[in-house]
Amino acid sequence: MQTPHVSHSSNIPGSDRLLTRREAITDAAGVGSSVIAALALGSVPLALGLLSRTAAAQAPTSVRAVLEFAYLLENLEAEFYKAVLGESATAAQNTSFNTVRTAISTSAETLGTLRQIAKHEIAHVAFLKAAITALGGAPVTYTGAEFDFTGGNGTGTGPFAAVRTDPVILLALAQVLEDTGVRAYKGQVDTLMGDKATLTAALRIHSVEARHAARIRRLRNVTDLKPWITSSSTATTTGIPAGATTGSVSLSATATGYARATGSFVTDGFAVGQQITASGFTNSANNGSSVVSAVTATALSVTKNPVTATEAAAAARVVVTVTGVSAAGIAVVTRAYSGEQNTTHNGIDMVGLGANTGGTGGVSEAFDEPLTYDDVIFIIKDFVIGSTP
Amino acid sequence: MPQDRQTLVIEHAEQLLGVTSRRDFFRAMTLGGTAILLPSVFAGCSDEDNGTSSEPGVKVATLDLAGDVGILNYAYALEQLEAAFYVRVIQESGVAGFNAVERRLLQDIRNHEFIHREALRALLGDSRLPTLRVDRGFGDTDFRSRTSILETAQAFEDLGVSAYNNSARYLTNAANLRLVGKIVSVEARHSAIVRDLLDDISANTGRLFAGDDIVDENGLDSKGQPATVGDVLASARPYIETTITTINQPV
Repeated sequence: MQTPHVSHSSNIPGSDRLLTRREAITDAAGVGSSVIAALALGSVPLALGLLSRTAAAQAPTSVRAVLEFAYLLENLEAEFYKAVLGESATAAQNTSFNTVRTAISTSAETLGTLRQIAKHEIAHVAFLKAAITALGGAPVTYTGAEFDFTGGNGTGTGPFAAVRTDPVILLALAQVLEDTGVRAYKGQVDTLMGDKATLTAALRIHSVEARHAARIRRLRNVTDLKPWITSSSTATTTGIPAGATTGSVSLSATATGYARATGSFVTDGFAVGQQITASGFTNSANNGSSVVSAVTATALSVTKNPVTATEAAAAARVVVTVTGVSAAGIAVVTRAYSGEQNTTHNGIDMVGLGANTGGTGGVSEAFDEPLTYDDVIFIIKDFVIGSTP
Repeated sequence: MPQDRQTLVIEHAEQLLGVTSRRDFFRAMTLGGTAILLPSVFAGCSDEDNGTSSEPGVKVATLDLAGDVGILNYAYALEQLEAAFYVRVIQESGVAGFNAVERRLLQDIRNHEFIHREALRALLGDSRLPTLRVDRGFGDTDFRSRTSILETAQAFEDLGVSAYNNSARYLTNAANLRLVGKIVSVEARHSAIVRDLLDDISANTGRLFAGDDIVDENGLDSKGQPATVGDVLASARPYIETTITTINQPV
């Protein structure tokens, strides 16, 4: 005999106002119902301040604050896809994505998918803006200029810098943003419980984000990458390629490549076969692209044309992989998938249930886990310029 | 003739349900062959109504939708239907011409639906709905046809997403709401992938996963899908032989 784990608490007692809201849910669709319901709800108990470009320091505790949090996320996504597609109102964002846009321009499949997703994210922004306004808020209008899609908080050289040149990293970041969107909405459902119309609308946005994430994962065509989130966040299961950078350090050049007295090329993540680019050297032959042929802690051998020439060590030189996500970016990815290995729901570990043919991995896949507000802020903070969480 | 004798390994109870494997089973028996029932067959049969055994399900059921138990039982009914469908899909997927990658995706989906069903079953305990009797033909599904299978799968997944999205608001316990949230996005992933497998080369290539037929102009899911419990169950009726009477429908 099994013990029921389901709450038997009764429905919220009916009232005229509640009935009115329920009729609104039934009769109207989309933004109408949310706005009507919001108006019917009247004042919101905790009118938190705007979640401005400086990310709010506290998790949202009101319906409106949840929507403002979601609004920031949707703006990040919408502006990202607009920049990728060359449709941002911020010309510099369009320009910065020229290389990757050219690279994907021959794939009707990729373009179709990104355009469809962009359309939805733009619609979500408009929907949430109306809903927040209906709840008495005054949502700001974000522009492309307020985001740094390299994750560099305005430097333009963040850990995802290759997003602007490499379709692999472009779709990898899209996956992280979509999965984060799914998990972020899920993390806020408790706060939305009291407002049934808004909860329903949020869930209907949330499942669209899940569709996006699944499609992007399949589009990426990475071996073993599934359309559902698997139990760990290793490079294999997320399909996010790690890159490497020395950062701005003292480096010398040799006839076979690059050398350093302190620090380690190995620790920095360099590996044979990576395409890299060097900068900061006086001899122009030592700058530019090459491919790693051997790695030790202090020496990086490369295949380069023109070949490298001996040059004494000096500061402010950088060797960085052309593609891949640096260690700081991998930390973001790891956070984006944190907690997904959970298999216990409502107090029951689902792994041991009958007819479970998927094992622990299957159980992990079968449930998308929520992210906390703090998790989400950690993930997005360096994509929002000037954020100081 | 010894060379005609067959050994049939039955790993899962559902294999006994499939027309193909059942035929193989009797052929093997007739020819003096051996059927090996692995322990996993019985692992799934530990209870009287686990939904994967050959137990046919009830003819009549009353679905009391009151409270969180009611909403979760509603979900349990739909998950039973989905799980049973994918059992059949996996059995027939070779015949229908799915490639290895597609079969893997469909097997994953089947596993997820099993787990959803078993999770709800465990949560509901003795308050659960009995095992329903599903229509083994799943309406007009042609199991020799990849397209037909995927179209039925799409219908089930889209219906499931809508059912969760539109009934979650009736839940009064936050843990139950969170659980439903964890499930619905996985159902949406299923829908996206099934739709993706149906997508073809056209001006709209790469869009069907979240097509304009299912996502509305506000970017909200479940456009045009039945929203109320009654309408969802009416849509599912062709696939369920059990006569379900609902009481205490939430409004």
